[in-house]
Amino acid sequence: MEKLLSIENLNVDFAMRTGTLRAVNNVSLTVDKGERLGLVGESGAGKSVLGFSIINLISKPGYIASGRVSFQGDDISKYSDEQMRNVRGNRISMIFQDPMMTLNPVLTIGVQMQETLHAHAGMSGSAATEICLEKLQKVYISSPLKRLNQYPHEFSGGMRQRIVIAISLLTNPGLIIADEPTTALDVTIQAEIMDLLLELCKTERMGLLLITHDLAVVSQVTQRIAVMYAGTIVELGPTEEIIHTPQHPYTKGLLGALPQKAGGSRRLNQIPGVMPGLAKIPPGCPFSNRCSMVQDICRSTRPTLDTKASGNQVACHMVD
Amino acid sequence: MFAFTIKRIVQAIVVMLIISLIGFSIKHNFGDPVRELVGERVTPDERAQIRDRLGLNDPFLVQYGRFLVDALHGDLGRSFFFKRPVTDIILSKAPATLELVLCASLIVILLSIPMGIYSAIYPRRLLSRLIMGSSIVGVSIPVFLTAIMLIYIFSVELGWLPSFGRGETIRLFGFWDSGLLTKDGLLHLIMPSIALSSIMLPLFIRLIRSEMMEVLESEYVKFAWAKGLHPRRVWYVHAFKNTLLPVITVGGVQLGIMVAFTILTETVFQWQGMGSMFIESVSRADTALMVSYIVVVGAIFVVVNTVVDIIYGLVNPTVRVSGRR
Amino acid sequence: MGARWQQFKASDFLHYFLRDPVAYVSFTILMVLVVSAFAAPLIAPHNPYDPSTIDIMDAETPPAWTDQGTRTFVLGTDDMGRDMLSTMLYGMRISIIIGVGAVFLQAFIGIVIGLVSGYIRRLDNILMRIADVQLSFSTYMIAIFIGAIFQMVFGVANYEKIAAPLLILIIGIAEWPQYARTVRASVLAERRKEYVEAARVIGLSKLRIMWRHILPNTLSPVLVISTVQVANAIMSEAALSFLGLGMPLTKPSLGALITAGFEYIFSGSWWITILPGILLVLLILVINLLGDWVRDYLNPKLYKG
Repeated sequence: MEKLLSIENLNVDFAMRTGTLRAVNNVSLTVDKGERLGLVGESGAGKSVLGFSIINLISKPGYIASGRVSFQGDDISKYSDEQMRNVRGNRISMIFQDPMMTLNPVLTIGVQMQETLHAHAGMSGSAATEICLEKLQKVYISSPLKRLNQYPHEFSGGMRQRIVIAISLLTNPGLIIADEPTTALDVTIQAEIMDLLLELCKTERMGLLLITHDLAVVSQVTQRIAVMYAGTIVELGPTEEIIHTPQHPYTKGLLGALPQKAGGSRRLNQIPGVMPGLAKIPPGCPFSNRCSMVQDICRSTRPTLDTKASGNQVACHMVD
Repeated sequence: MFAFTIKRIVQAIVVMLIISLIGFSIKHNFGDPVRELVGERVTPDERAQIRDRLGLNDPFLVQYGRFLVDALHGDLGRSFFFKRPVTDIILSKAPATLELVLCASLIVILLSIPMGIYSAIYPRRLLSRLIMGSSIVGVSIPVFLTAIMLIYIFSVELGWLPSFGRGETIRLFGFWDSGLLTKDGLLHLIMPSIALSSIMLPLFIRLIRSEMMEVLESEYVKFAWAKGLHPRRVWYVHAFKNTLLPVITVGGVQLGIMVAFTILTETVFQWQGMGSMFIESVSRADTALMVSYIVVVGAIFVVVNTVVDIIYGLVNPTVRVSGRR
Repeated sequence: MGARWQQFKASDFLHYFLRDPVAYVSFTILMVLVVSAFAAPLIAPHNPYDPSTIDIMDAETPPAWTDQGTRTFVLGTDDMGRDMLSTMLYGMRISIIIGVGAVFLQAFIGIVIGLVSGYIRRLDNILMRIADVQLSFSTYMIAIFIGAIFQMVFGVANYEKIAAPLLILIIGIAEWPQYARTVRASVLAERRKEYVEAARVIGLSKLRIMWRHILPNTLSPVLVISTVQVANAIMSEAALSFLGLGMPLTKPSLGALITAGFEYIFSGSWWITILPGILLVLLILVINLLGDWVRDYLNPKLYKG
């Protein structure tokens, strides 16, 4: 069966004054129709860049250096600007982190919703309003008709994010890319929003690429997890497996660093060192300078993402 | 919104009172109303009598009060030079200045918006660099120098445009002498308007460009791109509307500079407006006229700034709804 | 001292400076202008203020590269027979002195008010209101008004005698708000920082905290706006001189020279007004370019004026 989204050997570079830096290194991922995939990693690991590169919206000076992105069978990495405009907000929708910054403060919600319908479905007037109301109801916003004439600052953070989700549903996209959708929200609201997303993905049968650093969130919502470190996917597998039996030293370290795992002792289990900046990634395995199991081969040869005995894909020389 | 408006209006009134107080103090200490009324050839006795009659020996505040009341009725005193009421003189000269300011403002708005937006969207293109480069040069040339250069090139050397005065004017509504309706008048308007706009234009271009560039980097613009909207919509609806807000506030303030520059421009072109009137009154020590100009100009500033503030309140939804900035 | 120099040489500042042609070309031109202005008594070919050296028969001689020009007067002479090059050099000197002097004054007033305003809440409101109103009138307008009032108070003759310091005073008073607001913003930002808390906890007096701790940190933004303010001050002085509220013809600045020469444009002697004009623009332009570069280097968002 054709995959909804297929990323093959994607490389994203940034052309800096001091040289070219690689932010996404040979990444391959797939998302099935209606599947929920989590993309996990620390800040700076390249997750957001990867997310943006799917719809070719990487901030300058970034660009796709090589690789392929296929969506519903089409190679969208080769699309022109005009073709890409047809995909963005239409077949693939994206949700950003902070809804206060995402919604334009000087335009009403109604305008910001209807313009999507106008741009992609040629709709306006009452037909468009109907659909807007329908989607607002789906995200449980009360008195939707009144809301259409209100401005973003008149809503609470949670409501704003619901509106953003409603906008993303307008054109019944096949895939939603959610980049840290709850990080800017209160903890109590976070759960609500994630539940909402989960429910909508199931009922609307949309695929979800959830980009986050929050392991708790990802464990509840996703079916598979990809762990990213310094631009590479280091482990990929079903959520249950990754959370309970991580294979890659970095994933183990991540999960071990959770406060729950600190057990009785007062100190948290930290992974020594810090994730390197793009310019300082070591040759060979990017994790080699922090790994407790490091051997010579780790320092010289970059491990590839292979399926190991457990069934997960792990990029590590030390795992069979 | 209502509370906001009231606050602004109260502030405006306070500032006006202060300006009028300063103006009046100057008039009180340095002006000579007797001379304004009857000229120089009066005996000291007659002078003393007239002073009494005019109430010039009353306490300061009383005189100030009278000044305010008179001013509100439109009486700002008499110019001893012109031997006419000041209000008359100002009204007769105002149209000249206002038309000049109108034309210059049109030039600034019509040119700065497209140039500012263009150089914000395409900062590296040659045209953008040219625009920014000439902006810096434009800002470095004093207004009067631009005027002189224009006169030299287009009047003296090429002989295309007239170098002084307003040319032929037509009287509208019984008092407004307009130069906008005659070809001659329009010809005379060209160089002064260009000169007057010459510093405002680069300022506005740089302002619009820097605001727009900042806005183009914002999250909501990025979101607009992610929604797959057409670039024109992103630039003109999402980005530009947000650029307008700070531009309105700063732009409104630039009016002050504009008025200062009318003084300079009118002097170069011998344009018979309020600006040249002011300078002439200074050299003649015509206090009544001078002080009145200061008060009138002060009033214009205060009114415009208040109006701009209120417009900002209307345009910016966050203020309109919550009433606070 | 040697260590500081080494530090400076190795610093980013010098590195970027030398790499940007706009920066070092402007700087070089500025240095040439400033040095020649202050060396005017030494290098000017003639002394335009010594009546015995001036011959009215030389009046209105065009520059040397035209047909009727002569080598003695490289840039021609004005309506009185004074050498243009010399008057321009002396004039530039006056323009620069007034410009820099005014900036020192406005910086002084502005910094003091800014510090007080940022630190003492009660005065802050009033001081900033005054600053706002003054700014909204535009400093040019204020300078012209104050100049007009002073001229009326002192009378034209006296005014001309004390024109230079008076102009410094006028422009200084007119432009302090920019400095005050910048410094106040810095003070407010610094106040929140921990080292101020620490100093307060130790028990240092408010004054001492202001002087030794906060002030040095506000100097960077002050430096940024100072370059542009010098250019503005020179322009203000030129404008005031043009209106007759500035330097008199006996000791003209570039602005006064331009004014004096204006009428001769119509009789064909363009150089009397155009040449000082070009010099004035050049001076202001290089200062502006340098100022822009300094601002971009230190902090692009600091000064939107």
